[in-house]
Amino acid sequence: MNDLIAALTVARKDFLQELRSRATTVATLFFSAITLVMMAFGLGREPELMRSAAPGVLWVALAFAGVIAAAQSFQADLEEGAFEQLLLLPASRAAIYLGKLAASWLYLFALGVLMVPIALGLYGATAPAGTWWLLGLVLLLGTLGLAIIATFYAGLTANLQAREALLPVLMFPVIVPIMLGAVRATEAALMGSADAPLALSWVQLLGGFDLVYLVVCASIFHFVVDD
Amino acid sequence: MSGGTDELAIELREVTRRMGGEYVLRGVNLEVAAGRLVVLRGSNGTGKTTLLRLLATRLRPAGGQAFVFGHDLTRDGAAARARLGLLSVMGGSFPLLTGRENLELAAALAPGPREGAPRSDMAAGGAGFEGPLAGVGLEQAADKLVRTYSSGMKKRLGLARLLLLDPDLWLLDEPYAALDDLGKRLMDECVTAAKARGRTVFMASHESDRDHLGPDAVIELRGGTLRMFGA
Repeated sequence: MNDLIAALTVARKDFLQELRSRATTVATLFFSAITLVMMAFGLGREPELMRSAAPGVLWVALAFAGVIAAAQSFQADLEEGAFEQLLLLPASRAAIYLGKLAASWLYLFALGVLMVPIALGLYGATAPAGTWWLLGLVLLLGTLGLAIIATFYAGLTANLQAREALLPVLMFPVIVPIMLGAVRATEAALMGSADAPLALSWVQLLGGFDLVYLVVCASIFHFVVDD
Repeated sequence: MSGGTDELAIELREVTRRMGGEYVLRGVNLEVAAGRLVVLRGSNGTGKTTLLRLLATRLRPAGGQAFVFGHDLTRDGAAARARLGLLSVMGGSFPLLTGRENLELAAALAPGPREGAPRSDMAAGGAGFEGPLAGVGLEQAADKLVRTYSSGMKKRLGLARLLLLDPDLWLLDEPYAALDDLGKRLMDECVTAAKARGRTVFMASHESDRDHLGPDAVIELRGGTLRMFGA
C-alpha cells in the first residue's frame, strides 16, 4: 500500500512538472509529427507501400518519442539535486521507478492516441469498424513496453555526460520484441476483423514481454540509481 | 565523541572512498553518540560533502564499514534512510513544484511521524504544512514555484523539509551558505531545537562564528582523515 501511494505521488509529481514546463510535450509532438511526415516523403507515392508502412512508421515515431520523454523526465529531476533528495526518502526504488514509468506510459499513450489518426491519414490507411478497440489495446501494451524500457535506461544514463547518445544505443536493441509485437499487431488490426485472432496472438506476446520487462526492471532499478 | 547514551548515531571504521581516481577518504574512523551536535570543518575539496553523501547512503564506501544507528549503510541502506535527512548545498527541491508541493511530496514518501517530532501535530497535507513553512519564513512564498526562489529561499525550503520529517540524524552540508543573517539565525534555532529534542546533528560548515551553538565536538577533515579540531 505504501509503495502504491509512493508510486502515485511520484507520477503526480512528473505530471505537474510536465504540465508546467511542457518541455516533453513540445519536443515529442513535433518530433513524432515530423518523423511521420519525413517518412511519408521518403517512401514515395506508391499507395500500397504507404499503407503497409504505416504501422512501422507509427511505432518508430513513438519509440523516438519514448526516448525523449523518459530522458526529459529524469533531466527535470536532476536539477538542483532534487532527484538525490527523492532517493533519500525511505520510499522503495521500485515505487519510484513505477511512478516515473506510470507518468511516461500515460504520456506516451496519449501521444499515441493523437498520432494514430495522423499516421492513418498521412499514409492512406484505414482502421476497419470494430477494430478500434484492438488498436487501443495494442497502443496500451505497446506504449507500456516502450515506457518500461525507456524509463529504466533513462535512469541508468541520467548522470552520464553522453546520455543523449547512449540512451537510444542501449534502449533500441532491447525494445525489438516490443516493436515487433506492436507493429505486427497493428498491421493485423488494420486488416479488419478477419485478422483479429492474429492480432490478439501478437497482443498476447506483447503483454508477455511487458510483464517480463516490468518485473526485471522494477527489481533491479536500485542498481541503476544507487552507488 | 561518544558518551552520554549507548546508541551510536554514526560509526565509521576505516572508511575509504575514491572520487575521480583519487582517495578522498583514507581510513576514516568516527563515532558520534546519538543526540550530539558535531561540526565538520575542512577546506574546499577535502571531502566533506563526500563524507555526508556517504552517510546519507548516496555513496558507497570503497573500503571499511559505515553504520547509522547500527544499520550497515552498504547492506541495510533503506533502514538507515528511514532515520536520516540531508540538507544539501542546493536545497534539493524540485524547481517546477511549489514549496508546499515539495513538502507534500516528502511527507507522502516518508514514514509516519515519530514520537516527539514536530510533525506529530501536523495533518499530512494542506494547512498542515504551514508550521514548517512559517518556521523558515516561507509562508508567503509557499505556493510559488521553487524555480522563482532565491538560493537562500531554496535552502530555507530544504530546512522546512527537515523540520517536517524531523529525522533522528540531521546531516547538514554547508547549511549557512546563501542564507542572510535572519536565515542564519533561523538555522541556528532549528539546529539548537533539534538537539534539544534528542536529534543528532552532523554539520559540515565553514562558518567559524557559529560556536555559540555549543557543538559537542568540532572535527576537521584533512588529507582524507579526520582529526579533532576542538570541543
